[in-house]
Amino acid sequence: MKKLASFMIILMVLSISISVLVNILSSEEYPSDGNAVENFEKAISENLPFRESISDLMGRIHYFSGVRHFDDVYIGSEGSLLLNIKEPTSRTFSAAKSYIGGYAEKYQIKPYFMLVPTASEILQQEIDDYASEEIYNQRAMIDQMYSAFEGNVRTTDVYQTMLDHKNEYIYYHTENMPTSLGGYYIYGELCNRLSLKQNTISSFSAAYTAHDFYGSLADEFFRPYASSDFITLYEYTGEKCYFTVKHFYEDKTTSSESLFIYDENAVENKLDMILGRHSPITEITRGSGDSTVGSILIFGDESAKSWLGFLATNYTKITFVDINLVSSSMLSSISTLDYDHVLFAYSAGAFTEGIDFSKLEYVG
Amino acid sequence: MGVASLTFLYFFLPAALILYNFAPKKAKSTVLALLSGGFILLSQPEDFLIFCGSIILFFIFSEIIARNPEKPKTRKTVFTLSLIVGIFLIFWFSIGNQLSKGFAPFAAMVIFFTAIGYFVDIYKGETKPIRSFPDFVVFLAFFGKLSRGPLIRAGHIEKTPAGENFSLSETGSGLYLFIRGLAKYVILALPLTKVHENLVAANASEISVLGAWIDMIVFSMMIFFDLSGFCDIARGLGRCFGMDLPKNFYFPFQSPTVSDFLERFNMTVTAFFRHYVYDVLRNDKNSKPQFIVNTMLICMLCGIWFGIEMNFIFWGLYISGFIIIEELFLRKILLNIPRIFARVYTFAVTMFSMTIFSADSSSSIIRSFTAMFGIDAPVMTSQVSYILSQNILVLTLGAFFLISAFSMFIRFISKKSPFAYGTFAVLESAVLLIFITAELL
Repeated sequence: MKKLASFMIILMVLSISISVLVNILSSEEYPSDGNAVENFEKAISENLPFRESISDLMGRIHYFSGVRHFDDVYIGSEGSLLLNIKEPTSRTFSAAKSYIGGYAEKYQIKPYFMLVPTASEILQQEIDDYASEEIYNQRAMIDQMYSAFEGNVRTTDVYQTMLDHKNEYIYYHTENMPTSLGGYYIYGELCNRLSLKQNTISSFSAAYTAHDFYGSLADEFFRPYASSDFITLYEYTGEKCYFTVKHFYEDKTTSSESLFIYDENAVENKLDMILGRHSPITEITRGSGDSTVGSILIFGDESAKSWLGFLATNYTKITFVDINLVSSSMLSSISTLDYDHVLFAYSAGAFTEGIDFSKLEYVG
Repeated sequence: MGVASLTFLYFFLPAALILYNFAPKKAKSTVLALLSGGFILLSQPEDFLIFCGSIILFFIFSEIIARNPEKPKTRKTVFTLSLIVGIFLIFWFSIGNQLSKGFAPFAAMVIFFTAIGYFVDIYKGETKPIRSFPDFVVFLAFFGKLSRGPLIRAGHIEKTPAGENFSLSETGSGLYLFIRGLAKYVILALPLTKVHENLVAANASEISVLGAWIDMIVFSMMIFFDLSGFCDIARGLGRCFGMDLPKNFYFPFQSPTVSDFLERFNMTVTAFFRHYVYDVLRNDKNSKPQFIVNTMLICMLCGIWFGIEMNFIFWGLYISGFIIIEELFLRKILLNIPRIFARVYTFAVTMFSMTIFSADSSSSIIRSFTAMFGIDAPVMTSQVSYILSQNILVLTLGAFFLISAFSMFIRFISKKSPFAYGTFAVLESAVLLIFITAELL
């Protein structure tokens, strides 16, 4: 081989190697979750020059060759990004059963429990028949969890409802959670289970906003292949009433006099237009109006944003707790017996990711 | 850290090249031995002590044989002992690999088979003992060849100019070969392994005619790109560090006969068993029964090289059956018919052999073969069609590079225009590095 060609090849390898080492040395973060060799491999991977571009290029080549499945995300025919959820461990089931059961027994209550299937389960018609067999079976998982409670908890099944409305815009294309419309159907099932009077969709006025919104699933790679989303704000017009939303953090409390932030430029994450920024504890109180039945304590994840606004029309006070974010001291300020209902409501995705139910022992 | 890792590509290899080339001429062997030790420590830390211990023990055996040329009894005792230790370690690692897939059998196979061959050679006086410990370590365990070979014999390794002083063209061409080998493994063999696993899973639930055929072809491509990729890696690295390692593959699926297939498929292993077993057993050239038994034995050993498992033994027996038939009468016919028919015959026979090679039980072999011929199996399932649709690119590339057209094109360019070849090599290396890096991220 000619010397110039040899020189170029050697230079290529050495220059990449030197720039990686320089990047690692100048980087403030160094991986620490594996052994020394694994950490170094990860450090090289994270500090490669043009890492994103190389990865992006590879993804595009695969996409154009027909691949529609990248890691856990499937690109649906309608431009939905369907995130396959992780298979939960047996510990996930046993922890939920034991901590929720223990909590119910401690306060002599019979809480409600709801698992909401994600888009990867309900919108499987958007992906190939065989690919859908690779998708984790949420129906079986939900049934398994519900039967594990053995009647100590009142379960709410929204699976069939979501399936019945699968052709409507009930899940965001680019965010792994239900849209407000999907939330309305979930709210309907909750009303049935909690014996509440369901407000019809016509008692809300819909404001369509944040057009061309892309959620967290639509990173730079997926964006060209995903359909954009929009956010619908359903404002209650059935009765004259007002809402106050308080967010409790460890060191501060914020308050707002509306369920919604109408100016999309005022929020960093467009999803925060509904109920504001997700916080460890959110308290929604309703002023005036007659059709309220009291208060409810809800333990859930961020996907509850889709239906909390609807449920707020039925209760004087809702206290929503994200148990993964909240501290034990904040939990101890909550008194279970102050509430008429207690509900555990999680998306199947958040549930399988892991919920720290052990913190329930701190709830007052 | 394996050879196919970012750490090796962008840290270990550049560091090794710098250390080796800046080392004084006398210390180069020691540096290479230390680098090989370091590679084993980083890639297989759990086996490091057993590898080090066995290499030291083998060197002691080698020294005893070398220092006692006039004591045949001592030489024979030590020679026998070295064979026992070598064979025991091969069994130990093979069985360990069956019990736990974490066991890496190839490095063990490379080191211990090379050692056994070495002791036979020095005992028979076919080669001189290696008296320098660093040279001995490099001979047995040079890091470039530990992944899949090739098997080498002492006295049969050509030195390259890079072994003496830094050679720009040798290092450059070595790196080029290394990158191409790594690309074969990372860009083709690894994705094909995934396709094969998916097809196995799909066929396990419902086997179809096309599913069985496609899996057979995919597995053949996978095994070819895996083994020949690592061989190119070894040869490329060898060239960078002053050794001209032998070729191990030469487009085996294009062979005109099955005997020729074995000559081109894992050729250093075939040559190893032919030299150390077949030639030793062969007494009477005209004895057909002996030829049949010896051929079966050699082919079985070629299978056992991949592990002491039933499918590998069956594979060896299957291949030997065709070699025997060819030797008895078919070879003459194959050599007299148009080449394309002979190649189609060999292609079909060797492809079928891969179904045996990849099977985990005799019942799965029968299941695959019956499905291939449409017995109790649908033509195609939705699973197989989905797997195909998701992997069109890698399957097309695999089929293209399985034949020698591209290799012949490169050779043609290198002869006609060295400048065009150099330019092509640089561009190809750059593109392959991008794809390799992307796959390893």
